Amino acid sequence: MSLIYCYGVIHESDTFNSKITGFEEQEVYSIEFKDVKAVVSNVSEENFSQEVIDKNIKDMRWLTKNAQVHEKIIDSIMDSTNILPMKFCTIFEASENIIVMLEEKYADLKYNLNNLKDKVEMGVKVYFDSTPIKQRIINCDEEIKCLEQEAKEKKPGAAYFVKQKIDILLKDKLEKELFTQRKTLFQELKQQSIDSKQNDLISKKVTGKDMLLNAVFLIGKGNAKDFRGSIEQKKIDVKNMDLEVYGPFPPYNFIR
Amino acid sequence: MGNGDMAGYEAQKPEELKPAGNVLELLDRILDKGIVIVGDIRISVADIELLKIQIRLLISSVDKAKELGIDFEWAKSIEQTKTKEDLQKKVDELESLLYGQKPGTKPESATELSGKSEDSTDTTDTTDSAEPANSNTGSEE
Repeated sequence: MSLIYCYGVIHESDTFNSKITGFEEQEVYSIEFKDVKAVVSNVSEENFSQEVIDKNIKDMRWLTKNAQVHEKIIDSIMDSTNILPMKFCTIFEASENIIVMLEEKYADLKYNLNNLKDKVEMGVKVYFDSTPIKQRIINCDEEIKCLEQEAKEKKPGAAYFVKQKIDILLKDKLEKELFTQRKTLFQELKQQSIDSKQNDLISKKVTGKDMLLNAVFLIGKGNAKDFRGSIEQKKIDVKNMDLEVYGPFPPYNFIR
Repeated sequence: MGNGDMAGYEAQKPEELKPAGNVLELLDRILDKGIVIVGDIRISVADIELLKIQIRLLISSVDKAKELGIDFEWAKSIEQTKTKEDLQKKVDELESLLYGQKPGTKPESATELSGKSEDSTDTTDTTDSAEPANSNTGSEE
């Protein structure tokens, strides 16, 4: 028995390149309900049963490789049409089940297809270097300067507590500074977008860097290059910050 | 961007990992986001968080190991880890290596600087029109 891997949903009138093949080199085809179509391909139980997926998902090489295949297929479909992308490994046991799904979600799917037509998503991740920002605060902040002077004049024991106070104050001021910078930058970037959203910051233990902003932007299909260009320019303009731009992607983050 | 050249898929060597940033970005997107539709077969949500940590640790270790002075071979051993308990242990160990701190103490700027301020301060901007629906993945579970 073969299973059906679902990549996403498109509008009935939209077509995609029929030469696209899916996982296991199988033909990509569509299953219709009213005027929406699920874009699918057949996959084997051998590779995609729940049991096998549960097992393989722990294999990072498998996950990384197949995640990239999933994306590449969706990208290929996106080249010629508008697709609402499914999550990785959304698989059905029979075409009837897909039709039931399309029927149940019909209103949502229609809304999103209309709302996101000819739009793409761009991601921007911004990292910062906290050292120069901290240094600037230390150099400029009167309150901290006063405390530093106080610490110098006191005996070591008492100075220790003053230094602790300085640390807490510095951390607080750094957070405020970062909040302001994040807000300003996000406001500025979102000017160029139709819609925008901030995702959770990814912690330093994951990236090795301090993240200031993790945002996604909804852009007209034709404006993706300009958007990328403006981020690249911004990257040159700003100090102590590193901007990374990703995309264009199907609008994963803007499906409601 | 996709160009329809699917022939290379199976031949793609696992070593050809994209840069860490790109893979993490990809996984963040395709595991968490997209149409919230439950297939008959799916990735179980409970595992996704662990997976991301695992992948992030592995991939970022490739990029970051040298600069952080971590033994890369050690980081690679995570790959062979199978059980959650083992994985969590590895994560704890790697964290303490990364930050050189005793268990229980929080890494300096990782969660406190970025994480907290985000939660408390940004809600007004972030969600101006979007419901946080997408980030609550697979609540069907």
